[in-house]
Amino acid sequence: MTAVTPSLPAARRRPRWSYRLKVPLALGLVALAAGVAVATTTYLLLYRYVEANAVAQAQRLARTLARSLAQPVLADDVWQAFQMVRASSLASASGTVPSVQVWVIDAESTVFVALDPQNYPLGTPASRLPAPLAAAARWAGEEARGGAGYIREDEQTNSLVVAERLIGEEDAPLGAVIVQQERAISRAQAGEVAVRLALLGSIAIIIIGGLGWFGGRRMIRPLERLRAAMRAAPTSNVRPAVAEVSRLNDEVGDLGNAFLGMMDEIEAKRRLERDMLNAERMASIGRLAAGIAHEVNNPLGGMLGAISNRRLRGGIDEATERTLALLERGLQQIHSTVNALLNEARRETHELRADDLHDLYLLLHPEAQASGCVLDWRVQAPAGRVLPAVPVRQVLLNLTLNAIAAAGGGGRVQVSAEQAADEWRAHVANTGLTLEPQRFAQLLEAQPRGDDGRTGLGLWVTARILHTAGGRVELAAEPAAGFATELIAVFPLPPGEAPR
Amino acid sequence: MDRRRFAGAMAALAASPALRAQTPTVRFGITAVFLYDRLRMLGRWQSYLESATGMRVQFIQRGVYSPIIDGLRAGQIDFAWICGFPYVLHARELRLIAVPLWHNRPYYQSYLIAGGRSKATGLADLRGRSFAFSDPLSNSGYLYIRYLLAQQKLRPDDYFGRSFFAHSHPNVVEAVAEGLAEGGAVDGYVWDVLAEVMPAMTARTRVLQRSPDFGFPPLVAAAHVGTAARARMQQALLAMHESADGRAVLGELRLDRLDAGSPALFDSIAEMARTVG
Repeated sequence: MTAVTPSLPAARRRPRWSYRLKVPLALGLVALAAGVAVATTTYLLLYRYVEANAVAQAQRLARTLARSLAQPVLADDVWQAFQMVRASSLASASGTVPSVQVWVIDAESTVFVALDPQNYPLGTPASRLPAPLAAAARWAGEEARGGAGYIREDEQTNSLVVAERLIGEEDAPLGAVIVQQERAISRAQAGEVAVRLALLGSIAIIIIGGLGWFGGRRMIRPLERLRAAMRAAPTSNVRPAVAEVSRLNDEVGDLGNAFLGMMDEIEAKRRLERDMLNAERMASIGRLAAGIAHEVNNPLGGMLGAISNRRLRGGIDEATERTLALLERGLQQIHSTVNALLNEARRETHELRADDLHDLYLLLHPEAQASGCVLDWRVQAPAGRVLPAVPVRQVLLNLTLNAIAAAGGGGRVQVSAEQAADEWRAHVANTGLTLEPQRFAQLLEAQPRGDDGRTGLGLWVTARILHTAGGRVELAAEPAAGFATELIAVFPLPPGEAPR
Repeated sequence: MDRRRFAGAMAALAASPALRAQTPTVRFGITAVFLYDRLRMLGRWQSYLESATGMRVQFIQRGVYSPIIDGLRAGQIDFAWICGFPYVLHARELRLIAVPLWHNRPYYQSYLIAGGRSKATGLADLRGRSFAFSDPLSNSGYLYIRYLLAQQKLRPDDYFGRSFFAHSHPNVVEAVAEGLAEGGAVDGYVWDVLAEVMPAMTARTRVLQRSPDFGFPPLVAAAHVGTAARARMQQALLAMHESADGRAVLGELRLDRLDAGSPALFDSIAEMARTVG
């Protein structure tokens, strides 16, 4: 397979070899090379072995024949000599042993008998034999000096010529046995051996190569999976595939692990970028809010001052006093809210009382009525514990207003509270629109609302207020019976604080 | 005692191991005048002869003719199937008891053979070449050629470049087929039987000449064998073709039957022997 890498101009000129091919191919080639090497070595070893054997065999044959032929030669028994020569050469010419020729030379230096009588008839003078044999016959004719036999290599026929003297009784020279033996495997035998080796080698190589190819494919498969995962990484979830690869206890496994780590880092970086973007957006909103708050705080101060002045003047009836108190608390709350928005609010020392919750109801009830929905207010201040009034009021106000908006005309909103050992939980449930968990999470991160274009700052602000107070906002997994959505504001209760 | 009753008694005798152990053993010498290494045939022939004669028969085989001839003369062998040449040499010491009929005649020939690739057409072309004889006591495998040369005042050692004895007719055929000898002299009967049972070997040789008829190699009794035993053996041999076992043996030998024959059959051999000296 050849694939062109578009990003590398240099690679365009050269076809690229895939690892899917390279590794199995390399293993197959190694098997091939090993097979050829083994076959060659075997052939050479066999050649050497046969060569070494040939010398010993030729000498043994010549010596044996020299001993047993003395009698037939002495008795001039050609037939017996021929049978001996033929039997011994047949016995020695088995298997891979090279072929042998034998001549028996008599005392007159003529051929007494030859293994191949057609080409070397009886009575042929030894001098008319091929040169290496004639030389051996001459050696036999010389006076014997010591017991050493005659051995020469004949380069022309690539054979050994071995001779032994035939000695009769009282050391009478009777002639000689000449053995010519191919030095190693003959051409035909070599061919046969080579063909067999090649055949068996090919079968072995095919099997080993096939296993190599298969093994290579297996080895490369995790790498292949990793590559596919890396390619698909930006767009699809490849974690399971990579995790499978990273379980391998080898370099590919390490690669998979490194890739997983890299993916984690990239993801963390993305999240950080998103958070920074959000924080920046919030900062600009904050700056805007600070400006607005400054503008709001000035008239607010004036209005609070006016209420105070009106009290100082006296002559206020009870109804007017209630109105003034309501106005003052409302204005104070606006002031606190603006301060909370600005993050400039002083730590509120004012503790939550039943009045605060009642005020809230008085503020929210007209809103509910205006929306045409029923507000079921069942909130009780925590007993025996102290909670800061401002954050509670702000949170309940925000959540209830949201719930009223979500319930809409003919809807129902229920606000209740429960006290646990170390926390106070305010439940705000509404009919009508359902808040999905995903959307809830988006709202907590102050992402723009898709449907109506509102920024949905209400929930974000609520969450921040709660966060500042050490609490949190939750979406009930299962809203109270008959309601679509239920949000829970959780306030931590300071431990063991005595009621004031 | 007629023959049938005698055979019955002998069969009963043969069946009893104890009695069998007491029966006399005759030693029957065989030579290379036929394919004598066919052991199954020999076994059949032996059991036929034992049941027909009531005597235990032991075949004696030797590589060359002379030990058998010597054995006959020395009283160590009782009967033998020998060549006509030693028979005429020792006719006074041997009794002719049977002559085989081959193609219904008591005659055979000597064949002069050469290798399949040899260009020789007769004995003259083999002068100075290597030659294989069968046995010094063989008529067809030695005496005849020697006689032919003697007529020209020649001797084999001078005439042929190299000559040797291969000790049996099949060996001569093999020596010629292998090229060890360019020519050879063999028993025509043996060559013909060999051509039938081992055609691959005879195919590598060629018959150059056939001799005149000679008396077929005879079966003889040694001088020391008693008249009764000789008669019993002769009876058994001459009656071979009358029993199934005997016919089977004759079939394997490619012979028709055995005849009483007469010493006159071997006169021509005796004449050659005299000429050769």
